[in-house]
Amino acid sequence: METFFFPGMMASVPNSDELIFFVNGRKVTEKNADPEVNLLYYLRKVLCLTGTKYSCGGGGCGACTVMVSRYNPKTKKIHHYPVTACLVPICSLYGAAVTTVEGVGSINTRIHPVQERLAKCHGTQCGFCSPGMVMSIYTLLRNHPEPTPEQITKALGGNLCRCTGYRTIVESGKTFCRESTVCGMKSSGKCCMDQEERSFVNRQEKICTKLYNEDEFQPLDPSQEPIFPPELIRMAEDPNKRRLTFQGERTTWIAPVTLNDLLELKANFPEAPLIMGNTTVGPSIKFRDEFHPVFISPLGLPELYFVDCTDDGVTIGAGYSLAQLNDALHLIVLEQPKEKTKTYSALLKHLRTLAGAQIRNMATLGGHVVSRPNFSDLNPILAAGNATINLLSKEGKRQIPLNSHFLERSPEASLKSEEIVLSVYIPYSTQWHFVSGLRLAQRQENAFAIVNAGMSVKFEDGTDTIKNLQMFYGSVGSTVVSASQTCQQLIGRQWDDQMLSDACRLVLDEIDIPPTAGGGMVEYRRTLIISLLFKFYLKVRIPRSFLISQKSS
Amino acid sequence: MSALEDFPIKTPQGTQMFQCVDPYQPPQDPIGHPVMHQSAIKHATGEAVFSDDTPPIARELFLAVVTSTKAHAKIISFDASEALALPGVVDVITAEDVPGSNNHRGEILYAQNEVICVGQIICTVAADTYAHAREAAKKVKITYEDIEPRIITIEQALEHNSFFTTEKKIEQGNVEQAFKYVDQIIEGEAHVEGQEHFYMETQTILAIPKEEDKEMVLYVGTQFPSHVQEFVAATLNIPRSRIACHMKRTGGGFGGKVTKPAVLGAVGAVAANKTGRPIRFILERGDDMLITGGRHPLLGKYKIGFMNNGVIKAADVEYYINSGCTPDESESVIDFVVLKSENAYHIPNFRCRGRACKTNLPSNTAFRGFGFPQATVVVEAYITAVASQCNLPPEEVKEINMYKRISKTAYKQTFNPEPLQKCWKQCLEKSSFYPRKLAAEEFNKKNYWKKRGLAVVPMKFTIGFPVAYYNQAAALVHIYLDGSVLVTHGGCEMGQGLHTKMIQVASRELNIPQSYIHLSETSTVTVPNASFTAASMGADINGKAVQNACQILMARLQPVIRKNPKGKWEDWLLRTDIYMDAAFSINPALDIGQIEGAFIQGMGFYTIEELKYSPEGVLYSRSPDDYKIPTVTEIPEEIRVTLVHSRNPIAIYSSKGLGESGMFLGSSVLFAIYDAVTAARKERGLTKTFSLNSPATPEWIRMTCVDQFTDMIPRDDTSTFTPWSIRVS
Repeated sequence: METFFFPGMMASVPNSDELIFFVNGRKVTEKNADPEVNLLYYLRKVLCLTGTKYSCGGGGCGACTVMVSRYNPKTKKIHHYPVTACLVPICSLYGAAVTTVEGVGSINTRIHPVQERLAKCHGTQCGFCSPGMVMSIYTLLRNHPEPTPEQITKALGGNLCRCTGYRTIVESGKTFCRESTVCGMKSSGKCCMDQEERSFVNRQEKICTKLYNEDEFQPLDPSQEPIFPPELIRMAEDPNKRRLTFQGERTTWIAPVTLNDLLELKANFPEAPLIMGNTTVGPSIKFRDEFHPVFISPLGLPELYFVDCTDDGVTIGAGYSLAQLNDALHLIVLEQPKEKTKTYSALLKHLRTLAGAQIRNMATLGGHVVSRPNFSDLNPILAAGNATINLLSKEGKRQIPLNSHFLERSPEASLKSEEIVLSVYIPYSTQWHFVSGLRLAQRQENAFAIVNAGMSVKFEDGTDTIKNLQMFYGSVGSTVVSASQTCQQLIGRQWDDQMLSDACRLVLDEIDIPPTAGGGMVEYRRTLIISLLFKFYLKVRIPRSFLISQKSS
Repeated sequence: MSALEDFPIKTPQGTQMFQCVDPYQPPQDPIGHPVMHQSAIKHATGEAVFSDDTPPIARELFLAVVTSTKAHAKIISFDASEALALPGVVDVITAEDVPGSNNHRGEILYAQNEVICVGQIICTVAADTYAHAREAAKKVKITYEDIEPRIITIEQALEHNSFFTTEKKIEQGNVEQAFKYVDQIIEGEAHVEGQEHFYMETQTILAIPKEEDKEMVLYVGTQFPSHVQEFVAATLNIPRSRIACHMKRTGGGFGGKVTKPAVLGAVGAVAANKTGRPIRFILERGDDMLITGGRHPLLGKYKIGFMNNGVIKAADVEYYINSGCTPDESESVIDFVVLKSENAYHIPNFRCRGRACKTNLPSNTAFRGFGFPQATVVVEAYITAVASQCNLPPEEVKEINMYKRISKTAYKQTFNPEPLQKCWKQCLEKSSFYPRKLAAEEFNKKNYWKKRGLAVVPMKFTIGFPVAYYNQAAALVHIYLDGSVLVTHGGCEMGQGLHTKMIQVASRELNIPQSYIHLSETSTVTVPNASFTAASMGADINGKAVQNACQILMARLQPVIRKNPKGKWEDWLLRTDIYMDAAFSINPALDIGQIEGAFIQGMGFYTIEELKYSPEGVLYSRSPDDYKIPTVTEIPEEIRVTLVHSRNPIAIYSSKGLGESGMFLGSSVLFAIYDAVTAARKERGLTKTFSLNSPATPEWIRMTCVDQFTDMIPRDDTSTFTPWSIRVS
């Protein structure tokens, strides 16, 4: 095999490192880790663990869900999260513990309560999605042994099932909730577990409602879960960690362990993508035939994981997954006055439906911001909320605004090839500043928006006179698009129906979706541009109604 | 104000009601109990083995497909040299490598000289890993020359007179005459787009050539193993007796694994035959969605004559389905459409005609409901249109025109509508239809931007297949000397719990606990010439066969039993019991699972599932990213299922096949949306009847609820440009 020569590196190509991770408590040492091999393939074909299923290969169906656990030497905590194995390069798993459905329980060892209840509640039909369902619920229970029904639904949002219609699956998960609500007391006013119902034999009524017997269920005992491998804790705490290189058939994977090392690598391989969750690069390689000879993976680099709250806003490390971003914002929203957290609330609303739980746990804030997909649910809000991006390179730090120029990919507003995203700063909103996220999709959760938007308006203090207006739209062009001209022309106007009507006309002039546009639904998307604007208009008008002479529409 | 609130995501819940088991039924008899799926625990632990879970077979090769990028074209050149030179590549297989028939029953395995749809298999590449096969497949170079005409839509097929079969027709009364005496006549059409099966397990084939006598063993995820056997035998030109097709389970079928696995099995078998090595042929999701077709898009045109009181006197309906490029089961589908489309309505003068259109799309195939869920949208559309013309609520017009007494249907079957009437009344009553309708109207008065709708749809659904021998089944029951029992039958397990029900049947018939009974797989070796597992009749026909086999064995055992009346089953003794012929579900848990699953699948079909095709016939929707099936957040907040019981003396234990029927009930969501949209339009001064199509996507809903915003947007002159995607129905 031909070996690569990397300019700027040591003259000889380093030998490939050993990849060490754990699967179901067993150590895996892979001497020939290939960056192009994903975890699903490795589980099924190399380790012959075929419980994890291949169904879509793009992280879109959840059939290959497994749990990844990592030890954080800074917090000394173990972080469990669900991933779609089809998108996880094995090289990204150095030092991680993977749990598959086989590791959760088996007939020969012990069936886990999650498995038992899914089966007994009739939550399996063909059985192909079942291991993924088990892993999503299992991972949730590892983090929340007594989840709420909402958490169950949320945890299953990334798992497709084509047979059951989901009711039975959700029901099996709900048996773990503190207050089990499986029988639908709300509707009948009576619980199906009532004694009299159970002894139906003695009654005239010959209608049954019980499809399984909850008394049979083994209790969930979190203390019985496997421990995190101590060897991985030692590895994570090893002060002498060094850069890892995995050399595959056609590609090389380099995992730096210090920030400087990362910057050095980025300078040497300006074209190499940074891989964290692989939710953007992975699908591009698989479905769009992209090829990258070198990957740089700063996964786990402590400098990329932090939340820093200041007087005027919050700075969040680029390595934070969208799930971690969600949790961080959620905490701030709970703590801070509503007025300051309008941008965060808008982000949280979209984070709830963005992809499924697996993808939210894999995709990172930095990756999402910098990859700038045209359908981005977060970037329009971040831009409307005046976020900025903190960049770093060997040359030093730099800050760029997350604005229209950045989102529309104008070269002078973008990252230089040697720069990396360190963090994103999201300022607090103020009393007279309103920020909203709006979207419409074919399906509420786990679906790209047909059109989405982030909008903000700032009023002259105590009035409804527009001081500043920003509107960013997703899925209306090849990038997120700003309606800057419209916004400019409306400055100084009152927030009233006439303004709305002018705004609609202006924005339709400014944002043009040609009749032949990819993705179709052209007239619908044009309608959505102004429908979303109308919704924002109403949202802002309502709390300010005391200022405005109401004109009912 | 109503524009502001977001739709909340709520946790679904439900109630299920079914008939209890008779208290006098022996406790060991599992019939009627909600027995867990036979494989449920294995499903949940990942130990249930699917075809591709088979460990690597020595010397096996992986297959990747090269498919046509043109809808209708001549193949000008084909060059696989670059692909063959790549690492790991063993062979490239084309039509020339087919020893027998490359065109069996009109289904072409490998395209030769000409391609007839985008996605048609031209060649396959066999390599040591799938990654190598796939890389090589990208390097196969093919050039084309377009052939006219290129027919993508039903409209284009009509233009070019492109059909597979002659017209199918059913007629009763005198339609022309009746139109003369009605108060009103309406004419209209409804478009129903297709649907992707999206079974979770894509099509899988393992083809293993044997050393002797050209034998070949296949492991295929299929609903019809003997069809795979037939195709492979014809393709390799060897007797069927040498082809063994095994099928343990498959990850969902929904009709998509009735005929297609045979074609794909034959494609894989040709590769196995040529290379002499085992072939593992697993379609990737994108290829599966592209190649294997789906539900037939349908166009319905109707002319309805009715009285001002809502009574429909005459209907003249024409149906066209988009069959795609090969016959597959399209003729049967259009048969079903024409036969069943009267649904639950008795229209004295009724004429229904249907044609299967031949187009340059991938060949469409069976899909749960088999034409019925599409055709009945048209029926409900004209019923709703009549209601709108008469200013009556749709449910009233439905009730007026529903079958009321025992009568002959348009297809000349005597039909007793008593259970139908019972279900209808119970549904209206138990669902509190009218109070909820009032509540919806009240809500709609108060909310300008949000509307609620409510709909109830009746359904008369016939199961089975109008070809008698398809409704036959066979079973093989072995009783071993240790008392254990092995049951085999011709039906396939794809999640519906057929094997579980068969074990329940054998348990009752042999009067032994279910734990004594094992059911391993379906195979052409044990049960030859079996029919497909489809049309909601798997449990009916195979159940009877298992029952029959068990009864024969029990009869043979009688002499032994008489000699030792006090022994246990292991000593060949059985207790005698009285059988209660209860008219109920063999397994309510599985049946409710079928109903709920079908309902959600139907709801998806009628609302959010949208296949997008380019004007050139390229399917865009090839992944879960761009084809949205329902997820956990889409399902009803509350779903209640009641199995209304009745007698069905011809079926096994008086049960009913209901694998498919729930599908159409999902259309209640479609008509509820229609109802809500009607309310929105009324409030905006739009009272004219508007056309109803399926799916009712957010796009359709928004653009139909015309308002100042839809009026404001720039419109395009459709004659001046080629849109990104087109409707194919």
